[in-house]
This record gives sequence, structure tokens and C-alpha cells, in this order.
Amino acid sequence: MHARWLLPALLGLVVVTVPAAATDRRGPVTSSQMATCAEFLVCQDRFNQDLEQLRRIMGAAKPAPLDFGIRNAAPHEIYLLALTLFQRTNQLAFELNRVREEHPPPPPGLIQLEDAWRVVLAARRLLQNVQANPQVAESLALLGTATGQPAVTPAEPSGNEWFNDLFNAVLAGNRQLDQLLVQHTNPSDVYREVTRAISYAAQLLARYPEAVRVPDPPPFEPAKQPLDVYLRLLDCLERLQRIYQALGLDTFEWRRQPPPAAVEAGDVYLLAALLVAQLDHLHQRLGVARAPREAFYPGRKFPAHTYQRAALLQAQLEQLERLIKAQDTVTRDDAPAP
Amino acid sequence: MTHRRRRPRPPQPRLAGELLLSHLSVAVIGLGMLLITLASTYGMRAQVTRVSDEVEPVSQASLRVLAGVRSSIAELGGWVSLGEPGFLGSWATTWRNDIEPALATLRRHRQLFSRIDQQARLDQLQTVLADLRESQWWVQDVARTPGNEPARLTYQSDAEDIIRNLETLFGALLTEKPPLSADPVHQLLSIQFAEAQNAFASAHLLLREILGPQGPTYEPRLRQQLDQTGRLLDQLTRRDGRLTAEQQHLLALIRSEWQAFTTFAGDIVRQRNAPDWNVARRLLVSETLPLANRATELATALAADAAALMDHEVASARLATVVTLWLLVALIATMVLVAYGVSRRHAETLAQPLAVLSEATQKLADGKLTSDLPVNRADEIGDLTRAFNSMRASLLHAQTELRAANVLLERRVAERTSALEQANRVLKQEIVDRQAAEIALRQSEARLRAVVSAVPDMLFVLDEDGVYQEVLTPHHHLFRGGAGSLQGRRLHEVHRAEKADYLHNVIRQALATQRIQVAEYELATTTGPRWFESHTAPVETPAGEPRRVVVVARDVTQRKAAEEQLRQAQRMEALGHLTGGVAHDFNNLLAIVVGNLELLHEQLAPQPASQDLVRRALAAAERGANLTQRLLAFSRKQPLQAQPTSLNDLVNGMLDLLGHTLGEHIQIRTVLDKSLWPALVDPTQLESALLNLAVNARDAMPEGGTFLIETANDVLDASYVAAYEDLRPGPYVLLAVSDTGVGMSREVLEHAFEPFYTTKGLSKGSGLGLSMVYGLVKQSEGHITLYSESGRGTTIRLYLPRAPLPANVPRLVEPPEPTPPRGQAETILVVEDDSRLRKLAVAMLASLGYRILEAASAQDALYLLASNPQVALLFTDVVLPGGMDGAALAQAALAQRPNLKVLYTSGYTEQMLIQNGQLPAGAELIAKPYRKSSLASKLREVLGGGLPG
Repeated sequence: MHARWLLPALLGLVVVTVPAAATDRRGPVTSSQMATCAEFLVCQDRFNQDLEQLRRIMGAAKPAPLDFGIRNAAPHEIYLLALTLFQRTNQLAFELNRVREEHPPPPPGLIQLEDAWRVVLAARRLLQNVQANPQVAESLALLGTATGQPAVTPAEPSGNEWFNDLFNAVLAGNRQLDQLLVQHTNPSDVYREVTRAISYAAQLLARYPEAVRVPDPPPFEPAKQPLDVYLRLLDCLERLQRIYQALGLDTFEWRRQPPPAAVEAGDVYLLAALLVAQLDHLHQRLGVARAPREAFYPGRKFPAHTYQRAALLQAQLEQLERLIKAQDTVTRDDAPAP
Repeated sequence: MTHRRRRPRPPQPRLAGELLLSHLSVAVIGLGMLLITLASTYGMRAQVTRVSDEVEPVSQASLRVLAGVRSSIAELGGWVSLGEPGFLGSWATTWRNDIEPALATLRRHRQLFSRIDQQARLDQLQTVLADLRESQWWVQDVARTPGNEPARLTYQSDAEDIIRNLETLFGALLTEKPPLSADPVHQLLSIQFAEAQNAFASAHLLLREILGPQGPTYEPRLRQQLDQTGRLLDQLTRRDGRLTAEQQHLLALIRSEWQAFTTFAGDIVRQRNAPDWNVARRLLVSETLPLANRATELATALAADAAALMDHEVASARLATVVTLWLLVALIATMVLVAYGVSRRHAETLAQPLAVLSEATQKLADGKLTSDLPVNRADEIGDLTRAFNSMRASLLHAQTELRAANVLLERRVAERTSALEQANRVLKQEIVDRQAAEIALRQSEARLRAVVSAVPDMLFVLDEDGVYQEVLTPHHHLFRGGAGSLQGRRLHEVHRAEKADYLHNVIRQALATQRIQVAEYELATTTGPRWFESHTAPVETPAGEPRRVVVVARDVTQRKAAEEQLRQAQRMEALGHLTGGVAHDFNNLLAIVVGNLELLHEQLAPQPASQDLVRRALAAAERGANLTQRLLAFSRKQPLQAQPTSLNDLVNGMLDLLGHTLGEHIQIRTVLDKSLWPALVDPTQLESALLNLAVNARDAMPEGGTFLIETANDVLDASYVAAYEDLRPGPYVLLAVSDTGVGMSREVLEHAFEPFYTTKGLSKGSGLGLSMVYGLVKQSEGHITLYSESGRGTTIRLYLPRAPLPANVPRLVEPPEPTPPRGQAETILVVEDDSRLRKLAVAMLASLGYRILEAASAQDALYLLASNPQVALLFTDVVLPGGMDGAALAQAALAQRPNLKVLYTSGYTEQMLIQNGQLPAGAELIAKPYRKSSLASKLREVLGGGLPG
């Protein structure tokens, strides 16, 4: 199956199989974690440098910087981005070498930073296969800076900033990879990811008998841009953060950033995937037994379709927030212990 | 000191007490019965209410849920199978209008289910319905998407690219010929390439079959074909040494793509064999339908519960009804018995003394009662007897007094009757006088109306505030809706502010001076702006009432137009005299200058430089002489050598010259009458005039166009020439020149013939071209008309007098002018923005026996047409102001009245209008200027009355 449809399915599988405890927010960063984080960051930087070389020889555009606003990312969030990185690298390898590898199996038990690192290393091996492609290797040789770049020595930021830098580095790699693919991430992929989020939200609403699990969608508005969807999904993320807080659960720190001038469908996809990951986390924290539904390729969709579907998700989360605040059935004390 | 005698206390009425007790006892029994009845019916009502308010809606709602669930499943099945969007709409409607309201009803009556211990069942139904709706939403969301069939999606999105690549590569491999293609080894290789290609094609076909309804049955054959194709490719690879470099490269690419193909083929087979190869059907069967069945079961059970509850409540209500009925029967019987006993005893006590009283009353009425009745009782009956005795005494006294009063009343009635008869006589006389006065007043009013209707002017009465108090000529047509519509309106509501101020000032002056004020002004009317002369006279009004004036307004537009035309003619005449005088003197001076210059030129022969200066001065003087010739032409003082001239020959002879003058971008067209009369004109001057007109046309058509020359014979009749001072009726030869250029505005038209008037700028024209033409025609005793509209072109008609025929040429006998055919009182709507032309047309038509309505614009014409259904023919100018021309007006008019006849008129020639597309094909047109007889004939032709003779 093409990566366009394999990736969302795979990510869905991964987030479902991640144990609840694995997705908890981390506590104070230990020195061991900091060391792992620093090495991981060096590895990711090399990966990104290799990507930069590829970008130059493939003549692809360099994406503008983008900040989701997430500040204390947890290992499972980095792991999610690492998986996306692997899948996009796998697709790049297929497009050039006609070879595709199986995705790394989900880790048993608690997700650690090392798990994400392993996935990035697997992606790096795939990237080296790409660099070995005769057509690519010839260009790299002519460019004179093919591989073996000197190791990057990162600065010595504080513990939280290590994680933030790492999150942003993996995010940047993802965005650069999307530019190199023939088959970019497109609005249909985002649509599919938002549909998956709707499935999660419907399962959460099933806890409340009076809830309308899948509300009627708002009227369709044509001529929307990926940025419109992006902003609406950011609103969903903010609402989800309030739901976490209302339930007394630890949550990511999110700071609203100025809206970017423009975003690509791939960026919106990453935000939607992050939203799914957070919803899955909430699923497990609340002990929702029913598995979310699989989302299927919906055919060619425009950002306007996704914008409408994101509004549906928005309505679900708004309803969920209202019901949680009204009933207050789950409190910090009631929540299962990590 | 006197002691007031204490009045004895009246005895307690015993009879009233007994009656009260009797009635109270009956009332208490009735009240008791009522209370028992109410209590019984209340219980019954509560049970009935419960049945109607709770059990029945619950039963209905359960059945609605049942039906709704079945309906939603059917509609969803329709969407999954057929993909018709209508099914989705019905599905949503079913949930919104049936299932959700029914569920809300069930939840409202939740308490009812707790009474029968079925609350849990309701909760279960609610949850199952929520699950069902969500499940259905997912089914409908995925059913028509490509992702619904993963195997097909993989084929279309992934495998097809690989297949295309492989087909291309195999094609390239087969066409790649080695240098020694006749070599048996190479021939064998070619055969093997073809085998591999065929094997791949078969594998592809089998892969497509996998996607079909019987897909899994093809799996063994596909795997076999994949293996065979792979073996053939391996064999080819082993022959690597015999392949050319290009073949090796192509084979390597084929193997790479083949690897991807087998991977996707495996994926497709796996996905096709999976249970959810069609996701929506799988979800529908495995999840949605069981949920729907469960919901159906629960709804059925709830409906059955509700039915049982209803039966129970109905039985209870029926029992309560029987008990209440028997209770009521017993109570009614008891009450009847008690009431009968009590009433009978009191009736006997009361009846006897009342019978005595009744008998005494009858005697009193007969006048036979001579003494009082004895009083034997101390109760109300005793009181009644005493009162009867008092009444008897009073009655006797009253009868005596009544007789005396009757006598007095009869006397007074006689007196009053006499007075009324006298007053009636006076009143009758007054009525006779009043009727005589009213007859006199009506006769006076009739005379006044006759006078007003006989006056052609408009008559108004206005008050000092400028309000139209009375309109004495209400049907005057110059104002939209008739002059009657002005009544009650202020001057400022009817006219523009400055005009209204002016008219109001005239009224004030008339009131202030108490003298008639005469004023002249122009007003906007339905037929365009018109001039009026008004006489405003104050009216004597009683003190304290608003002061008023009478205004008599006369339409003097025609008079003003005549004055204007006279002024224009006088101006042109004066200009001619002035120009002629100056030109004559100047010409003499130039003759002296030229003569002397010629002498000087001869004397300076030895000095070439000085001689050249004199030659230039001579050339300038000659140009000046030429200018004065034109001025003389305008002032009609140039020497003319008039002679019989064939205008057709003259025009044909000038075509080359005109072509050079006009340039290639302007097309010249001629429409020449073959039987044209000779004209009496100076041919040289006429050529010059025609050239001048061509130059003007060229300047008017910078982007190119058409220059049209027409000739024709024409006769100007007396009615036409009456409007011109120096024109005689008779035969004329017409030379018409038209262009399709920028045209002229009305202001330019007024000055077009004046010398030195030009719109071309200082360096481009002298402003003498048209003046010269005008002077030539006038001096030749002809007539010239100029017709032009801004942006539409110009037509100039030269009417030149017909030359007398030579003696040896048989003279054409001019037929006597026929009597123009008269109209049959048909109504014709004349639409013409030029008030003078409109008046002329109206005068002609009136004299021909037609009824006429006139309008100055298309909008006014449409208004008149709508309000006058008797209009038989629309006679309209082609060019009209206000954005709607004659053709558009005719189109709108025909939309209102399809049988309406239309006759167009225009200053342009027919050829011009047809060429410009301003008239529809087959339109009837009469060109301006037209004669009365021509107009009469044309009208009969269009109206269908036929021509006389």
C-alpha cells in the first residue's frame, strides 16, 4: 500500500497499542535522560543535514520555520513524529530505489526516548540507502559534501529545552522530507487524520448518554486554505488542553503562536496526527474500552472539506468539555494512576 | 317632653324560615351528590389522562423508533448499494424527524417506565440507538470512498503506475534490435522477450480479476502466473552476456519494477481475501445490522409494555365508570324522595290563604269588592292581606284623580296640534324657495363648465401658499395623469424649485397688487418642455378665508418656435449681408494687391530672390481671394452660371476625386435615380460644394466608415414650404449626402451654416465649407436640410430646382397632385423629440382626419400607449432621447400590443438606417422631410386601408 495511506493507518495502530502509562507526561529530567536526549539530538541533526544535501541536489524548496507552540513535549509525542519521519523516509526510498522496509514494531511497555531514537536510526539507514542510489550518489559526489559531516555539538540548554529542541528537530526533518517526496502529504491525508480524531472523540462522548456523538456538520464553505484548517485544529488542540485540565490530568504546555504566513498540507497533517495522539492518550487515561475506528482513504479532498470536518471535531470537543465540566465525573483522584 | 312611641318589632317571618329550611335541605342533598360525583369522575379522569398523556405517546414513540430504525437501515443500504445522495438525505431526515423526537418522548415519560420496572430497558434503548447512529454515520462516511475497497485502491494508486512502467519497458526491450538481428541467438532472445511480456500481461489480467466479485478464486492462477513470469525474467537475466548494453539496462529496470509489482500484487490479494475487503458492507453486516436488530427488539418490547399498561389503565377506568354510575342513581332517588315530602307539607300551608286572596283580587277587578278582607294570620300571608286592603283603598282614590287628569290632557293636545300645523306650512314654503335657488346654481355651473371646456387654455385656482385648490381643465393631457392630478399638490411638488418659486412669486404679486399678472415661462410636460403664457388674477374671498388666484395658462410653444425660426433666419440674413459686404470690399482690395504684385513680379525678373518673395505674397493673396469667394458664396453674391445639370453625371464624374479626398478607409456608395430630372445649378460650384461635404465627412470619420450619395426626384408641397420663408413649392432634384461619422450635437447644428464656425480646431478648417454650400443652395433658389445626431452620422439634403426641359425633349406631364387619402378616425401616437417637427406632423395628421396623441420621448409614449388602448399606429422618429430609440420603443410597444402598426421616420436616409442596423428588416419608414400626400399614402399602406384609386 502506498505510504499516503499506510502512514495514517500505521500511526493509528501505534497510538492504539501504546500503553496508557507510556504516554504520561515526564517528570523532572534526569542526567541520563539529558545525555540520551543530547545524543538523539545530534543524530537527528545529522539526519537533517543529510536531508539538506538531498534537498539541494533534488532542487526541492526549503520549508519556512513552523512552531506548533508545544513546549514540554513528552517522549511519546517525539516517538509519534519519529514514526512519521520513518514512513516518509521509507516512501522516499521506495520512490528512488523501489525498495520498502517494514515499519519498526511498537515498543513493549513504557515508551522511552530511546524508542523514538531507534526509529530515527532506522530512518537514517533508509536515508543512507537513498544516498547510495547511483543517481543520488553521483550528484552528492559532485556536490562534494555527500556524507560524513562533522558531528554537531549542541549547546547545553536546560532539560526541558533539550526535549523541545528534539521535538522541533524531528518536526523539521518531517517537513523537509515531505518536500522531497513525489507524493506529498495532501489534504486527503489530513482529512483522514481528522476523521480518525472524530472517531476518538465519538468514543469519548459515548460515556455521556445525552451526548450527540457525531453532530451534524456545519455548512460547507468553499475556497479554504491549509492555513484555515491549521488554525481550526490549533483551536481543537487548545480545547483539548482545557479538557485535560478539567479532568485534572497532566497535559502538554501549549503557547499560542502568531499564525504562520502559510502552511503546507504536510504541516497540517502533523498537527492532526498530534491531536490524534493526544486524544488516544485521553482514551487510555479515561479507560475507554472501545477501539477507535479505522479511517479510510476518502478520495480527493480539498482543504475546504477538511475545514468542515475539523469543525465537526471542534463541536465534539466543545460538547465534551461542557459535559465534563457539568458532570465532573472524572477528577484527578478518580483518574487511573500512571 | 313627648315620648316617642316605640314601634313594635315585626314578628319573625315564620313562613320564610320554613321555606329556607326546605330549600336548604334539598340543596345539601344535591351538593353531597355533586361532591361524590366529582370525586368519582376525578379518579376516572386521572386514569384517562394517564392513558392519553403518557401511555399512548409512549406506545406511539416506541413504534416510531421501530419504524425509524428499519427505515434508516433501508436508506443506508440504498446509499451503500446505489450511491444515490437522496438516500443520505432521507437517512438524516429519519433520524431528525422520527427517531430522535420519539426517543425524546420516551425520555420525557421515563417515570412511566419506572412504574413498570422497565427504566433499564429505556436506558438500554437510548445507548443502542446512539451506537446505531454512530455506526450508521461511519458506514455512510466510508461507503462511497475509494478507501472502501482497499484492494482496488492499492491497484489504482500504486500498482497501475508500476504496470504502465513495465509495459513501456517491455515495449522498449522488444524494439531494441541488436546489430546482428538475424543471428539465431538473438532471434531466440526476441522470442523470450515476447514470452516474458505475454506472461506479465497475463499476470496483470489475473490481478484485475482478483478485484472482481469472484476474485479469491483467481488467486492460485495468479500465483502460478507470477512464478512463471519471474522464471522467464530469471532466464533472461542469465543470458546477460548475449544482451546489448541497452537491453541489459532495460532488463534491470524491468526486474526492479517487477519486484514492486509482485509486492503490490501480494498486498492486493491479501486485501481482497480479508473479511473487510468492502469496508462499508462489512461494517453494515457485522455491526450496524446487529445494533439495528437490538434496537428493534428493545423498541418492540417497550411498545408491548406500553400496550399492556394501556390495557390495564383502560380496565381500571371502565370499573370506575360503573361504580360512579350506580352511586349516582342511588343518590338521585334519595334526593327526590326527601324533596317531595318537604315540599308537599309547605305547599299545603301556603295554598289555602293564597286562594282566598286570588278570589278577592278577581272581585276587585270586577268592581264587586266592597269591603276589606279579614286578617287572620300573623305571618307573611297576613301581611299580604293587609297590603291588599291598603291597595284596594288606594286604587279607588287613584281612579278619581285619573279621570280629572284625562280631561286636562285632551285640551292641551288640541292646542299643540294647531301650532304644529302652522310651522309645517312655513317649512314647505322654505323648501320650495331652496329648490329654485339650487336649479339656478346648477344652470350657472353648467354655463361655467361650457365656457371652461371651450377655452383651449388650462385653468387653475391656487391659494396664496401655492397649492392647486381647483383644476378647471382636469383632462388636459400635458401633465402625466391629466391636469386633474395636480389638485391638492404644491407648486414645489409639481415643478422644479426655481420654477415653482417664480410661479409662487407671480401669485404673491397678483394678490399684493390685486391686479392681473402676465407671465411667460417654460415648463416640463409629457410632450417635453413647453412654453406657457399665463394670466394670474386674484379672486375675491370672504375675510378670514385663504386668498386665492385664478391662473389661465396658454400653450405658446408653437409661437415661440416660430419666433425662434424667424430669429435664426434673420440672423443668417444679417450674417449674409455683413459677410457679403466685407467680402466684396475685401475682394476689391485684394484685386488691387494682386495686380500690383503681378507688376512687381515682372519688374523683379533680374532679382530672383526678391521675385521669389513676391511670388509667395501672390500665392497668399490668391488664397485670400479664394476665401473671399467662399464668403461671397455664403452671402449669395458669387457669380453663378446656372445651367441644366445632370447630378448623376456630376456625381459619377467626381467619384475618383472623392475617393482620393476620402481615403481608402472610407467606402463610397451611390444610390442614383436613373430617371433623375436635370437640376438648374452651377455645376462647378456644386462640385466644389460636394467636395466640401466630402471633406467634412472625412473629418467626421477618422476611423473609417461609409460616404453615401443619393439622388432622387422630389416635389415639395405647399404644406411643407409653408414653414420656410424663401422656399417655393414645386419639383426639385434631391442630392443627399450621408456619412456614418461622429455626427453633431444640437448646439453645433444650430450654428453649422454660420461662416467661420468650425469644430475642427484652428489649423484644420476654415469654417466656410458648409456656409459655402448653404449660400450656393440658397442662391440657386433651392433648399437645404441638415440632420445629424451625436455619434450616429449626418445627412445633408440639397433640394435644387428642376431645370426646364429643352423643347425637343418630350416634357413629362406632371400628374396633378392626388388628393391625399384620408384617415378613418384612427388614433395615431406621434413620437418626436423635436417639438416643431412634432407639431408639423400633428397638424398634417389632424388635417388628414386622424386622432392624434403626441409624446416627446419613448417613456411618455409607452405611458400614453398603456392608457389609450385605441391607438392603432405608432409613428415614431428613429432617433429619440433618453436611452430608448425608436426601434426599441416599437419593440416594447409591440410586446404590449402585438397588433399595433409601426411607421418610422428619420432625417437619415433609409439606406443609412439599414446599413447601420438601426431598423429591423421589413420596417416601414418615411424619410424626413415628408410631404403630406406621401405621409397620407404611407399611413394607409401601413394601416391596411388601401390606397384610393
